Amino acid sequence: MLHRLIRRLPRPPQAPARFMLEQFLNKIFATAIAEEELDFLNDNVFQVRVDGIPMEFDLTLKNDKLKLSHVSDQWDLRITGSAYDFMLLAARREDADTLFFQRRITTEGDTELGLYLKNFLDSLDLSDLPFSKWLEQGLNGAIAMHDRFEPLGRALQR
Amino acid sequence: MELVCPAGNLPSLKVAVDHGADAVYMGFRDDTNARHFAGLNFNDKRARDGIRYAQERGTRVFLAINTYPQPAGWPRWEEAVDKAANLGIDALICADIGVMQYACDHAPQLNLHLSVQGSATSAEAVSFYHDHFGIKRAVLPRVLSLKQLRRVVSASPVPIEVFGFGSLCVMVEGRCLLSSYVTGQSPNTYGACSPASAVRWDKTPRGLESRLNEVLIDRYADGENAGYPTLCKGRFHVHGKTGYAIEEPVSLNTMELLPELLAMGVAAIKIEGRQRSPVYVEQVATVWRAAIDACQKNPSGFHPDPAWQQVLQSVSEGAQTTFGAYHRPWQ
Repeated sequence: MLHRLIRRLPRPPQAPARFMLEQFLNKIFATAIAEEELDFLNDNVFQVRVDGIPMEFDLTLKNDKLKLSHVSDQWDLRITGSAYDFMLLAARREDADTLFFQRRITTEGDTELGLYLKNFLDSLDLSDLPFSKWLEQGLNGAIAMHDRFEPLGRALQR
Repeated sequence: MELVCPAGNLPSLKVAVDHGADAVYMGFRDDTNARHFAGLNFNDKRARDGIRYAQERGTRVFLAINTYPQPAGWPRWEEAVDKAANLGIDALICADIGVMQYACDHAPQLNLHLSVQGSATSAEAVSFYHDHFGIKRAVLPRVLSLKQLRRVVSASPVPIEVFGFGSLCVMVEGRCLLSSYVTGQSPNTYGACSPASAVRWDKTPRGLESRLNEVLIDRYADGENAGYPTLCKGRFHVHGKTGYAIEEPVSLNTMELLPELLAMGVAAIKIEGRQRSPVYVEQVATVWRAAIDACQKNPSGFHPDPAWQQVLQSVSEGAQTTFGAYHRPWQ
């Protein structure tokens, strides 16, 4: 599995990665923020934990800007899943409820906040987003790579 | 036989249209419809865009105003009907007789469909809505066996639409009080069963627990498939045993029954799931389009393609499917 290979790599420092992700998210969701579609994140902390790779952060909206920070105990909703499943969701290859029924993604805390987030993401017209082509290619490339190396990863584990 | 697909948002509507839906159904962003969930449904602009997208491509748009208004909220239901009429939708799906009367008086050009929330299980009940409000179609609740369904379809004054696929509950649509009992809110008046604000998921040493307004609904062991946290799909202690006492978390899948539904004259197959994502709508619409086309071409030789069934299985709640009440020999 891709994340097993990644786990063997030296851990990059998280703060610069978070900073870059924050810039990126503010860029692609600029219209949605302006149209108040992300107001449900105001004063609410959404914690993301990605299994298998060193990626975890708190996300909130302050003064019309998405803010990413180091994980804290002060979260309202926590969502946990593998990098692969998050990529499938982002690329619209899997349905969130399907992954939830199959226990591949778990949420804890404020369920309504999770529903807001899920429905916000589902309602996005991906082709309207900045970098949409690049994003789609990147995600599909990563998913394809995972699908290709997963059998190898499994074989190596035996 | 028509394929009617769910659209909880604009991308879902577009993929349904692009993947073979004859009609899509949607709702506004409030308690006037039975999928009143946070962030779901259409604001005015998205509704206009969606209706244009569908109608330009020959797909009809149905709008659900299918909750039961309470005295204090009545103006919202009036406004919703007015808005629907101005938007030029192809049919209004409604359940409450007050809403139907308002539509008849103020927007007589609107086609009315009786919602599943109307819980009409006999040709006589369907005739009542036809005689008084001129409904053009009725969606039947998922409690009838095939034998009973055949009787209703043959005696009904209007075409009948039935559910073909999607999540199941106890199916006393429009009359179920289980969600109200635990949370004070229900699909009937508020538009949401087990509203998310009352739901908590907790990882505990004993398993993943779902709670509704603090009441433990279910506890899933590692690897066990989860379902929606509704009281009817909870596990109960009954006579010393713990299990599903009311309903199991399963999905309805009637694909194998398609030739029988076609032969008895069912006009449309409805897919449940406005709360699901565009991926679900795309997967399910594609498979059902292919199935309905194949069945219409050769009803006697129709067999669901295992690949279709695999897709439907994978997106199902609880990851099990059943025929629901359609195969209850004792009814």
